[in-house]
Amino acid sequence: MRRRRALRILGAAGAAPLIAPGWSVSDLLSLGLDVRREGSPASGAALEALNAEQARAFTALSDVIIPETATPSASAVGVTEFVDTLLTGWLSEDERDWFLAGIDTIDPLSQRAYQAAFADCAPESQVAIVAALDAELDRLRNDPDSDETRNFFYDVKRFTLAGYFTSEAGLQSLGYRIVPGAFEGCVVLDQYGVGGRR
Amino acid sequence: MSAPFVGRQEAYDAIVVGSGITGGWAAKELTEAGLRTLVLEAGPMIVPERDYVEHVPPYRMPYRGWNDRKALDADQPIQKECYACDEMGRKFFVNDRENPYTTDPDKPFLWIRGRQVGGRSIMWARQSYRLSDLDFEANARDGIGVDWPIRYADLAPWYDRVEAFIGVSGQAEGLPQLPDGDFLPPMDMTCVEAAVRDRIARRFGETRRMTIGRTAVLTRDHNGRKACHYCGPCHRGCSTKSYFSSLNATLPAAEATGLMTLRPDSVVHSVIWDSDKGRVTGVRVIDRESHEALEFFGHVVFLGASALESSRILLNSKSADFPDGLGNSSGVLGRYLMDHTMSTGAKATFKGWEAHGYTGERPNGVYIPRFRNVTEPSPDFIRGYGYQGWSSRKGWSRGLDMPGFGADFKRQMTEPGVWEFELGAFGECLPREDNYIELDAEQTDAWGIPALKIHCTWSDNERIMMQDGAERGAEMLEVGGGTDIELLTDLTAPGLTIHEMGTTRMGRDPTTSVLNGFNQAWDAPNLFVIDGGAMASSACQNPSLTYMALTSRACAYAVEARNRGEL
Repeated sequence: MRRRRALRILGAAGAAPLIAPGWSVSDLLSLGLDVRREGSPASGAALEALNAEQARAFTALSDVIIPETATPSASAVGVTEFVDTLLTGWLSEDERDWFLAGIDTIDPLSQRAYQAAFADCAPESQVAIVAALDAELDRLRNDPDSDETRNFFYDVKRFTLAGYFTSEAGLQSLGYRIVPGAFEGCVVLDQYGVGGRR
Repeated sequence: MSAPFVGRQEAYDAIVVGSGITGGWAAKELTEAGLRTLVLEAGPMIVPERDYVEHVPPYRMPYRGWNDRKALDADQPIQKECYACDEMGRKFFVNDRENPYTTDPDKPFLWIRGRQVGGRSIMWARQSYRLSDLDFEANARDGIGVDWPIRYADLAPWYDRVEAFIGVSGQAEGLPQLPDGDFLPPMDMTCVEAAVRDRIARRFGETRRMTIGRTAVLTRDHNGRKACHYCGPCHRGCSTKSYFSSLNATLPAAEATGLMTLRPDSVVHSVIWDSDKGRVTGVRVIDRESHEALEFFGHVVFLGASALESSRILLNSKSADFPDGLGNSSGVLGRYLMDHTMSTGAKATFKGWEAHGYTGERPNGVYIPRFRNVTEPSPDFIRGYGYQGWSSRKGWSRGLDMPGFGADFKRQMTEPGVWEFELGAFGECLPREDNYIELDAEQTDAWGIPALKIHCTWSDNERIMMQDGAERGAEMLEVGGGTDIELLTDLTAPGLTIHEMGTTRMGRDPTTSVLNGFNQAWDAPNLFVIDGGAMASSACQNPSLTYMALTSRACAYAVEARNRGEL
């Protein structure tokens, strides 16, 4: 009665996962039903995937993309720790290795140009490097023969934006409220740019 | 089955299989009529205070709402195709490894399931539309499938009854193909939607009309449930019970009678047929956790486990009298599987509204009722489609499609982006004999019950119709003032619309249908199938409201027949 067989999914995801021998129904259920509520690690939590140099380089990169203004910077809201969580449990091994290899190119780049690790460069030097990375990404974006999502800096930007704007401070900057209380379909924004999705 | 089933002595007045949108209605109607009713649910209990997660913000989740990809790939590779199977809400979807099925190699069917108290009424998208005689007469008119044994007049009072209880917000339009109900106040359109509505009305006159979606979400307090607070992700539950689900409304009503026994973790294996009495006497159950085999007895049995699950139970209910499954003396049990076509349409951006926005998250969109082969004939296909649409302003994710970084870029991302408006056609699917399910002789689920082999494809009528849906959608967005118009022409696999239906269809003739016009099995007078299996045609409207109205009507019929001593 507990016989289990391969689940064939044809045309859906193309995967053919097997029910691993030795799994109990309660194991399967806990995997299928568990919703983890512990939350993302906060800024300053221990890192598992990024080594110290990689963490310093990524943190500096993300803070050039989302710097501190009237609202906090990317690193201040835990973006580095979020990316470490993605690298640990979300990305495939290939995707993780590819991302880390990309991070590992940053310090050599800044060493050649400015004789310092990226995190130690002057702000204007960091901006110059990020501007070059962003310009290359934009070139690929506009090249019909290229896929810009295969560029390492695409993921840097993607993870930074997502980590920032799904953080509590980031959501606050968007005017996000968990319980808005009302839906008003057609309002003139009190000042352009504020509260489109409050 | 190797394990013997252990019978329970107690006999209930009624057994309801399934606790979702139709099982919940049967539980309410039967208990309120005084019947001691056992409700069997295959999945676990859901306790709203503990299990609803609609207010969990992304920063409370490890992947911030980007989903636990590895867990989904391992355990829910089919379920993850549904948008609602997300990082917070995926516990409301089945584990695909426990619940296997197969399809033909080149014919995918996505079977999206929720097994828990409340069923899929927890995650449904709540759009609620009536069918009309355009739909009930369609099979007879086209000579396709079997004629519906009922007409709109038969069902109208039951639509009234269901809507009065669940609460449907919307706008009366007076359209014959989409009958009005007694609606709660309509939700707002956005500025762009209202402008597009007006331009479509000016251009297409009386034939095409955009209205606000009709949705089972409360716009004011109703029957002890609170008005919506517009938080957005309804599919994760609703602490204020503002949208209708069995868990939020019908099951509590049944519970209040003191006559309902709800047994979660009860995977129904088959229906018990008594050849001498010529009746069903109960159901066989495998306990989800202990795997104990049990029998429960009742005077009347209602199957509301969803079209494919109820059909599977009946196919598995084999006896000397019914070697091919109970209810299958016609040979059509499990056949004429339908789903709605989805995902073709058009989208566009709208300029000139940059100073306008909206507050809150509306759990609803706009709707354009069917006009094809109503007021605008098509030479290329029969039946038609309606559109669901929605507009919004782009958020920070647009930052991935543009250059920029730094303080100015950061400020820009906190501002709302360009207006986008998408129209998605939902099309009618014809009932075809070669869209069918059968029991798998080899594969079983985790409870030893035969899995399904599902054979289902779209036909040319659906493909041609949905291409038209994309083109007419683009046309309306252009008329509405949109730019950068994009045609969406890729049809998703059948199943993903999650409107599977038709496998126990009702009809006028026992040789070509499974049920009569009261959802009563031709083969067994005290057996009713109340879910989407009963549908003789699919129409193009979202079907749950019709399932509920059919259930309410079937229950009243059964109670009256019982009171007359006929059941």
